[in-house]
This record gives sequence, structure tokens and C-alpha cells, in this order.
Amino acid sequence: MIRSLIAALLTATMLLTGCGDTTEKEFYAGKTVFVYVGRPPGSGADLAVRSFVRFWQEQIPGQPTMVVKNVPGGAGSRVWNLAWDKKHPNDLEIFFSPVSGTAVIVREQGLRADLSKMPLIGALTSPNMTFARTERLASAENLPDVTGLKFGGQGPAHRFSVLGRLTLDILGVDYVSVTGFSGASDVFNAVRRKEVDIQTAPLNFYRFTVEPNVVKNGEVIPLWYNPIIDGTGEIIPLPAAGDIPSFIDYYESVKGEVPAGELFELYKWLLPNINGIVYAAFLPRGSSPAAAQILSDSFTQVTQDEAYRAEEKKMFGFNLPVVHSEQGAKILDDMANAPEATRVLLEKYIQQAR
Amino acid sequence: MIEGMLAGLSLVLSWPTFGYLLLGVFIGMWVGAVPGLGGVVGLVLLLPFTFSMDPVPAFALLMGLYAVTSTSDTISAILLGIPGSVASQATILDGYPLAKKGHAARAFGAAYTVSALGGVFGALLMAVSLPFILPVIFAFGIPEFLLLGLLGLTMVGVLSGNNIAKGLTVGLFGLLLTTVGYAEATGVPRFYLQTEYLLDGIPIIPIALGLFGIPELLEMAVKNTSISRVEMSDDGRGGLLRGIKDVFRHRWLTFRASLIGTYVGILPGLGGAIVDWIAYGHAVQSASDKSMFGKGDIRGVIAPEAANNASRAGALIPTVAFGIPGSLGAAILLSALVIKGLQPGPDMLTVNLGLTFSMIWDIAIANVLAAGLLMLLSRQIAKVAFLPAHYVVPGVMVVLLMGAWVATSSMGDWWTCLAMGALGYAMKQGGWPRPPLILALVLGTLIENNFQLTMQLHDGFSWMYQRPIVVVIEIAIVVTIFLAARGITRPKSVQVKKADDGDLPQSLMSLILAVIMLSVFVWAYAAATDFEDAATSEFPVTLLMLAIPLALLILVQDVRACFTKVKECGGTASAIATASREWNLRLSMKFLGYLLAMLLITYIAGQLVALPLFVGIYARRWGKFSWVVSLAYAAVSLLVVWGLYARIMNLHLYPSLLFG
Repeated sequence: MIRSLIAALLTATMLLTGCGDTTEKEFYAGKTVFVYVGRPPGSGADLAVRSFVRFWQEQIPGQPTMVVKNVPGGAGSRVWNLAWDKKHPNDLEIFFSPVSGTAVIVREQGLRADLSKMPLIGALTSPNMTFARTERLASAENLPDVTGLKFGGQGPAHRFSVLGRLTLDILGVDYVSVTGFSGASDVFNAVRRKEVDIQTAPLNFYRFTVEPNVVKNGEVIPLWYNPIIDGTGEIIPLPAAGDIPSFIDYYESVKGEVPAGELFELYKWLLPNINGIVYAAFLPRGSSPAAAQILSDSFTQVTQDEAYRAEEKKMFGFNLPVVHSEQGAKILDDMANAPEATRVLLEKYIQQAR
Repeated sequence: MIEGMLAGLSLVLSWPTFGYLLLGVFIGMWVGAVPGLGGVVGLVLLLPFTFSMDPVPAFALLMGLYAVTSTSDTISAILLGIPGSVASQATILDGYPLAKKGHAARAFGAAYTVSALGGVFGALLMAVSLPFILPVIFAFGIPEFLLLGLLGLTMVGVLSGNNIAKGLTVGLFGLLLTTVGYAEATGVPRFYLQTEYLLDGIPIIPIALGLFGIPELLEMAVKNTSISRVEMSDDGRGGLLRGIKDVFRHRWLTFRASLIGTYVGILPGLGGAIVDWIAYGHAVQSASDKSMFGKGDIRGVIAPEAANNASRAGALIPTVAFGIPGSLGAAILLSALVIKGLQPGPDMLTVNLGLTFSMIWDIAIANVLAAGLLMLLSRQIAKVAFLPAHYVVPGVMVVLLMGAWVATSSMGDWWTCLAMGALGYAMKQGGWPRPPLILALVLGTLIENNFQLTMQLHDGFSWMYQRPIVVVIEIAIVVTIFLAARGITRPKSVQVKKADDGDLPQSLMSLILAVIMLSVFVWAYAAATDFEDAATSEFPVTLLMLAIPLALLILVQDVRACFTKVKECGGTASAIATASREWNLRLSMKFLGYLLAMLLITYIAGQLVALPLFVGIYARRWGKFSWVVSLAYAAVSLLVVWGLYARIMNLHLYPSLLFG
């Protein structure tokens, strides 16, 4: 009884003097934190998460051991379902994986988890861009005049397929959509073999694989990048894009007017959402807010850590834009509660490519 | 060029680079030897350690591992009939029968020699081919890949044994399994039984381990025989030397298989998966005496092992020089390049030529080192083939199940493994060939995707006669089918006799399988015709239209055979009793019951309890070991599961009801 009383008094004193914060921070000391990634070992997402985690464990107070575990499956949805089904969260399990925005919006079969209801620790996004073969294209500007082009993409619901097709349709390009490739490098191989003419791919893929091999020798030219738009509708500047114009700038330069129409409205709505979050880290529902705060703060610190930024720059060619937890939570909420008309239009648009 | 080669060699031989290469070789030998792990898992484990290293030693470590996993995966393929990885599946066909005959050391001798030669040959060939390899890679478009996939599938004819109808049906069943989950062309899920596990398709590792591994372990447990069905004789050093001599006796086959391995290996996404099967098929087709293939012909070990080691170099060069990864392992190496700030592409053939050549040397030297080291160990390893079954079965079962668990780390992996184990056992008893199932699994998605893409990219079927490489592959397919058919029809008298020669238990089991296959096909057909999009339903409907008549044909044959044999046997009751005795039904069911119980205990208490419990109880009750030995065996298995899989591999173990 006396022991309990003393303990209670000590705890109260610590809380009042601000030591409670320290206690919570020390929660991670000597512990092992498991980080689940929903892609197989060796995939791009797996390597990106592993690289991030090396620096993250240094930034979390108490410097826990962080161990990455792969739980691929369900086309990337299994890891989220696993997080969703956690009945007894212990603040020691983080779910850090790519988010498929279209799966969230069109409520794809297989994804049971409601990501907007799980505590978001932090997120990163990764810009993407579109390029084309020059064989059929004298310059980037004459794209709308060329007929019979072939656009290559992954699954019809993949964000690169959706964004790539949308931009071509908004421009009124005469093209055939060829979807069903296994990954960005498969589409690119088809570009190199002259089987397809246009591809939308991650900007880092462009910088590392496309540019040195086929841009320098003039086989391929960049067309535009799909901008990342913040919650207020402002385009976030992307120095990594260099001379490549945003799609909206490209449209204005070739058409002499601002884009408009139903598909452009869909594109505008999608940009801050499916383009706004690419990798996201969550805790399961019911985790302690204090743990979420500690992890969120340390997540942000990693993205500001010079050593991490240098390594990230080596891996991606630039630093991935950071999405803070409040901003990310809003994006997830917007996607999960997409306006019915937008959701139906997107579903129909995806269906057209099937 | 010569300067670059010499510069690369001096980089590899400098210290500490050579030490890292050795370390990579040791780790590669280990991850290759454990079924289910393999090169990709090993590369992912090592990659973080290379982040802060200089490029040359970093790649020595990674390449050392990457080059040799396809050498050491031969151990489980030959000794246990369990594929260590996709690359060693064809080796089982003749390697395991050789071990059963007491010739494991001979098979090892041949496999390691040929692995070293294939690896060195592939590396040198790639070095010489660098200037002209790009046009070769880009000459293969999507239609060519489709045809190459179909050429791989025609190997079903080669692998079907005596009954080509059964071989084709099994192949079609394998193709059907590849359609489970999201269709890549449309993103629509198919045949997934509303389960999350099946949405991404059924992973191949649990299928391969279950289909080949469980039937062998079950038979060993039930009969308590060693792997080798003959007594140990002089098959130690003598066997090893005999294997080495075999390689030089079949030097032209080694050369041709290495050539196939190198050039098929460069084809992105396809090479590594089918290269051993194509080499095996070539060995069978080019042999004048085919009678021993599948029963322990050393050429059936030489061809796939030469090819799969040669393909490692084949996959590396397009990755480094052109940024086109030929396999998942090569994709990880590509990431390693990028992390080091190196751009794959022309620079790797000019300013960084020394580094590129150092990687080629890494492969060549690693292959020689691994072959030498494994050769030294193989006499001891081969002795496992003569151990009594009860020493081997529980330990291997733990490794097999945890290997299956590597696929997605969910209970679905174990259920798949177990279901495929039961199917594999039934196929073995019923005389249905198992290899076509694996080959179809490897090729199914590739064939469907490339078919869909070809049809989207090209109007009609003009691509079938307008593209020269397509025409050449078509001719190769026709020739393969012709030779396979001729192989079946030529010894007609023998063939007819063999078809009817199956005893009653075999015919009865075959009948049961035919009924199951037919039911699955009919159900899948009904489901496939309900899919909304043509691109989603086309492939499964087409293959089921072929599969249903074939299954019906087999059913009719089996009903006839059973009817005749039941009469000969003196009635149904007597026939069933005979079959049950032959199948060791009671003990087989008991063994499967042990496995089922272990799965259920995993749900309640997790793997760290269930697996050691299985090992302990098996050792005590089946093996009749003392309590001390049984407990020690269980403790070691606990250590392996916890230490190797949970701690070192960081696998996500099942969150059980009791321990979360």
C-alpha cells in the first residue's frame, strides 16, 4: 500500500514537472520495433523502407532496434488489412508501405482497412512524369498532332496508367492504351523495343534508367511531369523536375489555353490525392497518441537528417517530398470519402482500359 | 577491353575485396542450401551492410552470394527431391533418382563441376558479347516472349513420362492455378474464393515444396527407409570422381547447356525461370538413348546445372550495362548500383569498365570457389542419403515448412504446402507426372500477359509469320512436339503394355485424381464464363476448353482400367483393401494427421510451440527415440525456427491466439 502510494506520488510529480514526457520517450529504449512492408523483399518499396528505417531508429528517443518484415499479398492490401485487424496494439508495430490511392477511392476488392481511421505517422510522395519516343514525334510540342501512338502502362487501375491516360485524353491525343505490363521497367523495355511510344513512370526511374540510356542519345524526350498539389490547390515546386514542364504548363504551351472539361476536373481532383501520398507509415487503431507523436516527430527528423537526405538523393536522384501527418490524414480522408460522382467517373474510366 | 578485364581482375584480387567475395560465397552457399530461401532473400539480407562500403568490395560481397546460390541449392534437390529454388527444379528429375540409387556423391560431383564450368563460361561469354548484346536483347519483343513461353510449355511433352494426356492435363491445371488472384491485364480478381491470401495469386515456393517434398518425406516416414534405397557401398570419393568424369564425357552437352543458359538468361523476366527446363529438354531431345531420363541419368543433372549457373552472368550484363534487370536478384543488384551513385548504362562500359569487369570476375571466381568448397563437403553431405528416415524426416519437415513460410509469411502458405503435398502424394501414387505443374506455374502468368499484350499491340495474327524470330521459335515448338510424340509412339507395343500395366492401386488413385481434376475444371469454367471482361476470362476459358475433354478422356480410361482390375481382384471390397494396403493408407493418413494437428496448434500457440512439438512427438512416437533424444531434437528445431527464421531472417511468425 505504502509502495503504491509512493509510486503514485512519484508519477504525479514527474508528470507535473514534465518528466512524463521523458518517460514516454524512454518507452522505446531497449525495445524492438517491427516495421511491416507490403511488398516482397528486394522490391523498390522494400529497399526504400529499409533505407529509411536505418536512419529512423537513430532518431526515435531510446533508439530501439527496428526490424523490417515483409508481408506482401493482396496486391499490397494485405499489410493494411493486417494493421486494421490488430486488436491489441502495442506501439511497437509500424506499417510502412506504398498506398494505392485508386484502391482507396474506388474501394477495391481486397482492401478492408480504412486507412483514414488509422493514426498516420508520416508519409512521402514520389513525383512521376511522362516521356515519349522521338521516332514518331518531331518535338514535344507536336504530340497532339501525331496519330496512332501507343501508351504502355501497368494495370488499368495503377496510378501511372490512370494519370498517363488522363493527360493524353485531356490533350486529345489519338492513341491506343496497352495495359497489363508487370512493372515500370517492363513498360520501358517495350519503349526501347519500339513496341510502345509513351510511358508514365516515377521521376527517379526516369533520372536513373531512362535519361542515361535513351534521352542522351535522342531516342526519347521528356514531355511533362504530373505535379504534386497541396491541400489549397497550389502546385508544390519540384526542383528535381529541372526543365521538364508540369502537365498544366505543357498544355498551355501547346494549346494556348488552360485545360478544362470533365476529365481535367478528375485529374485536378486526383493530383493532391493519389499523387499526394506514395509511401505511408501507420500505427494500428487504438495505439497510444503519445507513441504516434514520438514516431511522427522522429519521422520528420529523419527527412531533415542530412545523412539520410544524402542517401535518399543517391537512391532517388532527389529528396522525396515529405507529407506531414495532418496533411496526410486529410488526403486519406478525402480519398476514402471521395464524392460519389468522382468515384463513379474514376471507376468508369478505369473500366474503359480493361 | 583487355585492359578493362585485367583492371577488373586486379580489383577483385585486392584485399579486402577478395575477403568480401569469400564471405559472400559462404553466405550464398548457406542461403542456397536451405529450401525456400535462395539468392533474393540473401541479397536483401546483405544489402544494408553494403550501404557504407566502397563499390568494388560491396559488389564482391553481393556477387559472391548471388553467383553461388544456384550451386548449393542442388543439395536439397538431389538429396531430398525438394527444389532449393526455382533454378534447381529440373535437377530433381534425375538428381533425386540418382540419390535413391545410392549415387548422390556422383550427382554432386557432376553438378558442382558443371556449375563451376557453366558459371565461368557464362561470365567469359558475356564479357566477349558485351559490344553486340543490346541488339540481341531488343530483338526479342513481346510476341517472341510469348512464343518462348510456349516453347517452354512444350517441354511438358518431354516431362510427361508415358502418358502425355496426363502430362497435358497437369500442365493445364498448373496454368489454371496461375490465373488465381488479380489478373495483371485488368486488375480483376479471379478464383480467389473470397480469401485475401489468394488475391495476389498462389506463390510458387509453397507449391513446389509441398508437391515434391511432402510426398517424399511421407514415404520415408511410412516405410522408414533411407533416401538411398541401396546400402552404402564405395560411393564416396569414387562417386565424386565419377561425377567429375561424367562432365568431361558429356563436355559438348555442358558447352551447349552453358550457351543456352547464358543467352536465355539475358532475357528480362524469363531467363532465370525457364533456363534449366530448356536445357533439360535439350539434353533429352539431343540424346540418342533417352531411356534413363527421369530414372537417374547424369545428363539430366549436367544440363540444368550448367545452364542455371551460366544464366547468372547472362542476367547481370543487361542489368549493369543497360539498366534492364533480367531477374528479381538482378533488380536488387541494380538498386545496389543506384545506391552507390552509379548509373547503369553506357558509363558502366566506359568510365566504370573496370568495375563492370570486376563483377564478371566476381561471378567466375565465386563459382569456382563454391564448387571447390562444396566438393570438399559433398562426401559428408551424401551420407545423409543413407541415414534412417526418422532422423531426417522431422528436421527436414521443419525446414520445408519454414521455407514455404518465406513466401508470404501467412498460414495460407502452409495450407497451400500441405494441400499440394497431398496432391503430390496422390499424383505419385496415381502415375501422374508432377514437373509439368511447376513448369506451367513458372510460365502461366508470362504467357497470359504476353498474349494479352501481343493482341493489344498487333492487329490480328500477322505477327505469327512476319517476325523471323517468332517463326524460328514456332518451328522449334513443332519439332519439340513431333519428337515428343515420336518418342511416345515409337515403342508402341511397350507403350500400350505400359498404359495398362498400372496396378489396381495406381489406376484407382488415378481415377480419384481424374474426378477431382474434372470437378475443378468444370467449376472453374462456370466461374470464368461469369467474368465481365473478355481480357479477364479469355485465358482461363481457353485452357479449360482444352482441359475438360482431356480430363474426361483420362477418366474414361481409368474407369475402364479399374473395372477390369476390380473384377480380376475378386470384387470392390477386396480391391479397396488391396489399394489401401499398397498406399499404406492408415500410416499415410496418420502422418498427414500429425501435420494437420501441427497447423492447428500453430493457430493456438504459434510456430515456436507447434514445430518443436511436432518434432518431439514424431521423434518419440514414430522414431521410438528416447525422451532425451526427442527433447534434444525438439530443442534444436526450436533454436532453428527462432534463431534462423525469426531473428536472422526477420520472418514475421504467426500471431497466435495465445501469444499474439
